[in-house]
Amino acid sequence: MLAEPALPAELVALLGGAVAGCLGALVGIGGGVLLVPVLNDFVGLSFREATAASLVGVLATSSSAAVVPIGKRLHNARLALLLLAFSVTGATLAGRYITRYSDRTFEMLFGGMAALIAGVMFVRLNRRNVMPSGTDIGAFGDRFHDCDTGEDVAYRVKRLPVAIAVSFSAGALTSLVGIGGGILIVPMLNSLCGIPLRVAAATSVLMVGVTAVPSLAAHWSRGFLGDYHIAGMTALGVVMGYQVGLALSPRASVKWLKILMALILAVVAVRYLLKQS
Amino acid sequence: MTTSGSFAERVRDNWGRMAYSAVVLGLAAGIFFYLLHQRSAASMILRATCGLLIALPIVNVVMVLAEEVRRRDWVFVALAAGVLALIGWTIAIKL
Repeated sequence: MLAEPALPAELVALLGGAVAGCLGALVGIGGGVLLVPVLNDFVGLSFREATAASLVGVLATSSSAAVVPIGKRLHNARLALLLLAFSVTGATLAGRYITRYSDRTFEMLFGGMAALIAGVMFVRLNRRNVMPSGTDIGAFGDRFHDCDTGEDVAYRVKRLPVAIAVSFSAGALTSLVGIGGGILIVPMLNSLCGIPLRVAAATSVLMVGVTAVPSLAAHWSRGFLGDYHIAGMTALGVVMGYQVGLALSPRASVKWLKILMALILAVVAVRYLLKQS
Repeated sequence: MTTSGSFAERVRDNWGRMAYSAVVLGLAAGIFFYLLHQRSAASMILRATCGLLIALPIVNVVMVLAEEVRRRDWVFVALAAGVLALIGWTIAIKL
């Protein structure tokens, strides 16, 4: 099952998990977009085994986000709940179409979406979504302490139908391409829906954990977790990496986090659009 | 978002910390036994830890549901219940 990489497979899984966990804390992606290629290409797991181990990593990222101290917690639980209803629905409905088109079709669709969103992020790089704390926050907005300005600020969710549509699409693509969806949800919530990047990241990490549960259960029941040690090393790396990312996040300006997110999206877009069958 | 949090948030917070600590300890213990070549013990511990990881998001949604029932916000109660039902049904058909 395992190839003979330059580094022990367990160490590669641990390091990959650490980077994924750090990215999860910084920009809110669950890690699947990084972990699946690492576990598949460098550890030698099959695609399904890599997906299974990666989903364990995604859940570890989500669990790490859930225990951030209340005073530092940025996620928007009510918005997450609303968007979850649509992302899980999208994932469930898309499962019916998984054999109707080729994997390459779905990968091209995903790559195209990632490229489009990367473009939107670069164009809106300097736009900030925070408002004075006295602002009317509406039904789904909230207030938090902004590390960049050192002030208490507020935000209001805009274009809710867009957020819902993106969540539905991200859920569907999770089912079709095997990635948690944070890679699409975070930039869209930030660029088009008026949600600050750190809030979008924290909210997305919680969402992808719930969305990953049915897929992991299915992979587990089919034996794709093996004897669990690669998944365990990946998750352990994620847990450690998340704490590092959490410590780094207040020190990184929102603009640099947006650039990081947009670059990750661009790399992912290129990889999926140019991938050989 | 308040810095102190409601009572329910603190209960959820405490539960979350205990469960998360169990996950971290389980992962560390499982890897420890694996490195000592105690494969069956390692598999058993890591399997239990994976089960806990799967349960955590579901329990969190249940707690959110309970909080929304307490607030009598029936729209969000319906949303949370719908998410739980959909996840349960998806798991059932995939398994």
